[in-house]
Amino acid sequence: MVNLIDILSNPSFYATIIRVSTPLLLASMGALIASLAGTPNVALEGIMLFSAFSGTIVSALSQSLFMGLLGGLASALLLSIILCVFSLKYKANIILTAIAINILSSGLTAFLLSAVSGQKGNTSSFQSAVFPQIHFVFLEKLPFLSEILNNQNALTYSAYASVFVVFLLIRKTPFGTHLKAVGENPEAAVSVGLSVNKIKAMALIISGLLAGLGGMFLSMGYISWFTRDMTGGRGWIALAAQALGGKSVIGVTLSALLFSTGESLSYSLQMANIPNELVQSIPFVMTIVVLLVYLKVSDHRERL
Amino acid sequence: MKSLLSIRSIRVLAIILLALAVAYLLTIFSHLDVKTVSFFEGLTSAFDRTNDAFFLFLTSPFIRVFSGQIHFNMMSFSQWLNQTTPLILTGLAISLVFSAGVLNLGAEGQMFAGAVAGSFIAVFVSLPAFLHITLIILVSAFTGAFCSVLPAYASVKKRNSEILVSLMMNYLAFYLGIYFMKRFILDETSGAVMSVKFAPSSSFPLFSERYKLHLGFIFAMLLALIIWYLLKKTRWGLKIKMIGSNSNFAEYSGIHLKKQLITVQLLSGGIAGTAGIFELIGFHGRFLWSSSPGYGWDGIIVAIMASKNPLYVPLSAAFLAYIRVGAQNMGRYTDVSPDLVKIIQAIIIIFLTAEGLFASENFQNSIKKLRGNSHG
Repeated sequence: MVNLIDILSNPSFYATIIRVSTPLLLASMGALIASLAGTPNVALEGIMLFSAFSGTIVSALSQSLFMGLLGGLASALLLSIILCVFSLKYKANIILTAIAINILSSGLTAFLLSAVSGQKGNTSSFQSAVFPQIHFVFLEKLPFLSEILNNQNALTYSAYASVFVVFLLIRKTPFGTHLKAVGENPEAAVSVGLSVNKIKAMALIISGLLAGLGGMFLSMGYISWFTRDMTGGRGWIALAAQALGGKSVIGVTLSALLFSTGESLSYSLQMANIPNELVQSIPFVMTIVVLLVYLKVSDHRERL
Repeated sequence: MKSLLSIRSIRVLAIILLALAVAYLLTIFSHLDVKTVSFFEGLTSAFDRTNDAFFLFLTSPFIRVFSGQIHFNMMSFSQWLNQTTPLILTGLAISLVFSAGVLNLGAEGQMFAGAVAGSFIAVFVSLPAFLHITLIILVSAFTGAFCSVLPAYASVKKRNSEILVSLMMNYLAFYLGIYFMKRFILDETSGAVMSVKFAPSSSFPLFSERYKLHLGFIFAMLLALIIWYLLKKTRWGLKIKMIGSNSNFAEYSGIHLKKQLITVQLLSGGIAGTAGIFELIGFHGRFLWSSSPGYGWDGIIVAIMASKNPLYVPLSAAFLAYIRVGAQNMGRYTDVSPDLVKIIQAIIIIFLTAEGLFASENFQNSIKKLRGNSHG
């Protein structure tokens, strides 16, 4: 039995939390922006997966990290635009379109994977570029913290930077105000001359780009290849983190960190005798409980 | 048969053809070999290989060409019918909730949990065959309905809140299901993660011993008729449709909204709960899924293609199962990945749900004209 104190006193446990929080934070910031505009982005999972794939392929073919980054973002943009066009312009149900995009992404990446690389499971025959790890000299002096915060991936630092950017975007810019206006009361937003669809589309696109960055961390962060369905439900967990954290950046960040702690703990506990399946189900139990308590307490009369 | 030729079904057929065309082009593209001497040669060979693959894809559930002769492909035909069963059931489950305007997307988890619970009964209980199978199906249905309770509760509290709760339930049902399976009925002697063999009395009647064609689809077809009757011919069905088209109006006209929303979701959960178990007791004789088979997600596309009409659900499930089995054969004998089906599915959902697309007045008028001409 692994001692819990051993786990908690080991800096690598916390470093793992920071590392695994990268894709989750980026995607849940995306979920937050979309949700503020009143258009839940259920396609995060598929967008992450597609960016992870195209980032790897483009960077492997061009032998350039920057081109890979552009490729990954471009594919996130493409899927977001498909989502916007069909749901906003052609009035499709946005949830169903998003689910279709997830299916499309899972199918298309697997299809192209075998078409491009001739392999069924992963692209390990391609050597893609990898986002660098960054070493901060000034952190060296802090003994415990340095082991946690230093030498993380460039995308990890970007993820935390994105939290501040999103915070500023929502709080300090006119766009943030418009976003909330459209999400809370579309009729009122129209009456003051805002284009609801345009703002919703912007929100979905920003949301998709953030998720795309998160996806690329999976295939180009520490490893340099893509595996089938490698997002493994992170897009859904990001939605859960957003639901748990409500409409505040801080709340969503904290709940993303909570889920990351769960994930990090599950890696540590795999060595102990606690069944992995139980540990993995914790985030979902947590989300369900919080959502139901929230629904019970707030007692919405909307439906009734 | 007038309704089968309605504008809506022409639209469905057009979109299916579009999806197949995209898949075809994608396959040609994936076969283009840049290294060949001339572009034209490369293109011809890509066409040939794609045509071969698509021939298998679209015909193999029926026929098998063996040394120049065409045979009936009983093996794939049985697979086709077997795969249709779960798709009809999840399609019905999703049609029910969609009819009430609820986005309860938990069919996948309900199906998985139902299958695990049914497997427990299949392993531990010993009864005469008929009773045993009935009990297994009932327990699966009950478990599925149980998994639907929380999303149903959420849906009566706040519109659309059932989406996230049901999605989370899918993961929860999967992880807990796998946990219980591993903990209590794991076959320790087998290298793979699978349950011990089910008790012999649990095995579902087969049409064909050799091809393991089971009777599940009879059950599914009967259920489709029952649900069609409930939705289209009873007062209850009328209430559900009213709730689906305008829940405020339904409430004002005296319908007990909460009660009906919960009833329809429990019924849907119960049906979804039985979707997976037939494959286990009819075909495999043990629980052997290490990942969720996805029938619940497929139910969404089945329901959308059938435009929520239980009578069309078997048809649209049969179509989906057909391209599935065809794609599996294609994946086995050619280098085209069976994941092509997912792409086709996604395109169908995207275009079918886009109500503003191919559904404009102009388009419908021109179709009406076409039909007028062909009849006149």
